Amino acid sequence: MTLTPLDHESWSPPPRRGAPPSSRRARREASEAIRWRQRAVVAAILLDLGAVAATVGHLTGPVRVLLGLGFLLFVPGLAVVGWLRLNWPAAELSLTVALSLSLVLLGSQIMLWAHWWQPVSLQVLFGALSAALLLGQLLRKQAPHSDLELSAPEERP
Amino acid sequence: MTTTLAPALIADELAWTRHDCVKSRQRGWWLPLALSFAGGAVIIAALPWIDPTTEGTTGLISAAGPQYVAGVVLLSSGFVTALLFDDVPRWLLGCQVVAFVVLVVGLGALVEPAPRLAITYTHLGFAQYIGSHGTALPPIDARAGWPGAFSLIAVVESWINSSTGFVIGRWAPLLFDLLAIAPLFVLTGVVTEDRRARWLAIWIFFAANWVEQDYLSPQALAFTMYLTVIGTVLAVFGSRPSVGRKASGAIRSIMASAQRRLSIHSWHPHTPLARALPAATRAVLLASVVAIGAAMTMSHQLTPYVLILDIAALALIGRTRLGTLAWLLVLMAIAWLSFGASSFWSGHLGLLTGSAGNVAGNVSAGVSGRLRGDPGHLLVLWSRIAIVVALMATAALGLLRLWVRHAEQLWVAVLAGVPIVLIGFQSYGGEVVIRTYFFALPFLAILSAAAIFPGRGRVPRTARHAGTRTTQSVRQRIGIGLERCTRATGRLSPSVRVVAIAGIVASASLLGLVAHYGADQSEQVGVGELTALTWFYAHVPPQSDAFTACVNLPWRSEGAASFRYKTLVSESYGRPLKELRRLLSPERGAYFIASKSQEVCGEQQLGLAPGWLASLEASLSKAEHATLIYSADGARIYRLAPHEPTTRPRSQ
Repeated sequence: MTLTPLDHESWSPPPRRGAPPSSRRARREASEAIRWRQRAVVAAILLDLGAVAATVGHLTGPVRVLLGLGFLLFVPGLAVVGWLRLNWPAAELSLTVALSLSLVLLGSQIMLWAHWWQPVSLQVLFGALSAALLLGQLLRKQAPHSDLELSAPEERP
Repeated sequence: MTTTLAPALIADELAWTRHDCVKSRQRGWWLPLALSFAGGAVIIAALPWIDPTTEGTTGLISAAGPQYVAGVVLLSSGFVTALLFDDVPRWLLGCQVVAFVVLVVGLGALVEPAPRLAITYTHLGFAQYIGSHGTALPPIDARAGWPGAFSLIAVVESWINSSTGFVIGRWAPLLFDLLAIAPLFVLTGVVTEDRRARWLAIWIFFAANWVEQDYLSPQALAFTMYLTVIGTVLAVFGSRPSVGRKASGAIRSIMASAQRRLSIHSWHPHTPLARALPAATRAVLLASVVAIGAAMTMSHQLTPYVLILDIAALALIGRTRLGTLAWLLVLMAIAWLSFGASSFWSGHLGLLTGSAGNVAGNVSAGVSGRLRGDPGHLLVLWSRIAIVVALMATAALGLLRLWVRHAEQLWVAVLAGVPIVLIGFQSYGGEVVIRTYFFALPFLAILSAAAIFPGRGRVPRTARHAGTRTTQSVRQRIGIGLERCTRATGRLSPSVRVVAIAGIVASASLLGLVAHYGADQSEQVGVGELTALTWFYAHVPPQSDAFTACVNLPWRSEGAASFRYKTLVSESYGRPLKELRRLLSPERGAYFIASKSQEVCGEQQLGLAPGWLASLEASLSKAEHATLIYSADGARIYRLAPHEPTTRPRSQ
């Protein structure tokens, strides 16, 4: 552990001239990303089922609040973004949240336009579609990895 | 000459780095970890003792006490110390920023039992209307034309079984702040690979964000989406510069000139998404961005236009090839204005276009027009101005350091400058300057981080990219001056540097706390006011006229469209009785609600004399036959009897 000057690290990367790809590191990172994504998908499925069950079963209390907010923020978005396998957790998380909020918002607007205000039905619909897409991600064949997942940071243009 | 300067700077810096590494003592990252833990523990221990009802004119920090302040200093010191180590664990800086956001930025949500800010209750009322009627809001307000966020809140209230939505309103600021971290991390990751620079930029963003647009509001939701879209566009659709092959001669010339002046050459963001993604993945990402843009268009009046300007600017300088997205967003915005929000602007076109071109008026409404109030409030306002000035100065220094090093990221300054365009178009209720700062803040924070972590820079490939001879000379002189300063600080011992920088960051954090929560005395909502309003909605018949003195009454959480609400003092400054007579219906009479926080609001924010509300209430009782029908916990409700309007209004 060394104390370094404040501007030691590169704001832009050093020039790469024929640096050999570090495929082992890339493979390890890709495997790790896949493991994390699978865990997130399993958690999202549980959240999905729990939130819908809590709403339909008229559960009350803070558990329902947490399940409802978790569903709103993560479930519909991850059902879409998880398929993309972006391998950048921060980007996946931010897109998941923004897309979840957007999809629910668009759904609520459609209900307003259609004069058919049924928020519980909307949650059940989103829950069913998301569960199907998330299960599809879980059952998706993970190997062999795509070129993207095996690309080392050194290889990136 | 200049072409040799940049490598010389790089070589010097590397030599200095090696020298410093050899000389510095070996230390573990236990020090920043221990400081952060200590700071967090001290803050958590102090929280139960913070009583917002005892605060003074400088806001929540006056009630926080020395223990809390000491905790903030320790937490900030831990973050700064971690920045000085180049191999801290990945998680440490992230955890420190999250702790800062939760324990310092989110202080209001932690210690105040009810949702902050009266406007939160208005938004909850809009959502309650949609949830109970199942239809869009009637045109009672400009916000009714953009109901997306309110319909979303109504859906969530149903999902979590919350009849009032107060639980969402209380925790929304903290939630929105936490949600902003991931998109900010993506955005900073597009600009730099240095994770210390990235986390420092995020820290600066939160420390300097006194604007308080993170409450339960359409703009908070839209801002989270805005950050995500900008980050995704740059990370996935960022590209090599294009001089507009399809563009005409003049536009092509402008684009080429802009790209040359900003030193834009071949560039790809150094992110995992920069590599060519499969076409299907890119298509889904583009569709996601469009969906997010559509949701934003239905939710907020301002944010989509800033996004359009940003994407157009990025396309112009060759930083994205998604110029068509800007056109698509323009179409969506026009379509929404024409169909979704037409009920609003068809009767109020002046509100949309009235302040266009009045730059001086828009600026004065947002700055000098707000510099009023008691000394404590003025101190808070000046601390806000100090933060803005300091941030802009630091960002300018960062830009200079990047420029000297021929760095690739000069285009960040374009995104920081684009929101200024808003000032020329709209006053936005006197808030346009504040909103401009808010939209520029992420990019100013990134440039400010570059002042400390400018990186190695880049060697210009050609003489044309190096600039003209004059530019080279200026760049060389500034570069040498900056390097001398850097070396002067480099000669300080590591401990002195740590203490000095930690002192600066801790002061900035505390100043940010004063600026953020400085007006809390009038922004917090008391239990007494909520009880009075619950009584009001239970006992007062719908369609009545309801008046209050100052703007900070947490009403409209129910019956958003069932009562005629009016604030007196903010619009008829100092002549509330005259305003009341103008508005009072002779047949129906009205109800007047007064509370302690309104008295504070009048004194602090409007500069009224102490006791002004009691005087107003006495005048009401005398002149308007007001009857006190409710009084408890510092809140009072009067019934104003119907009367014949007088032809000669009396002033106070």
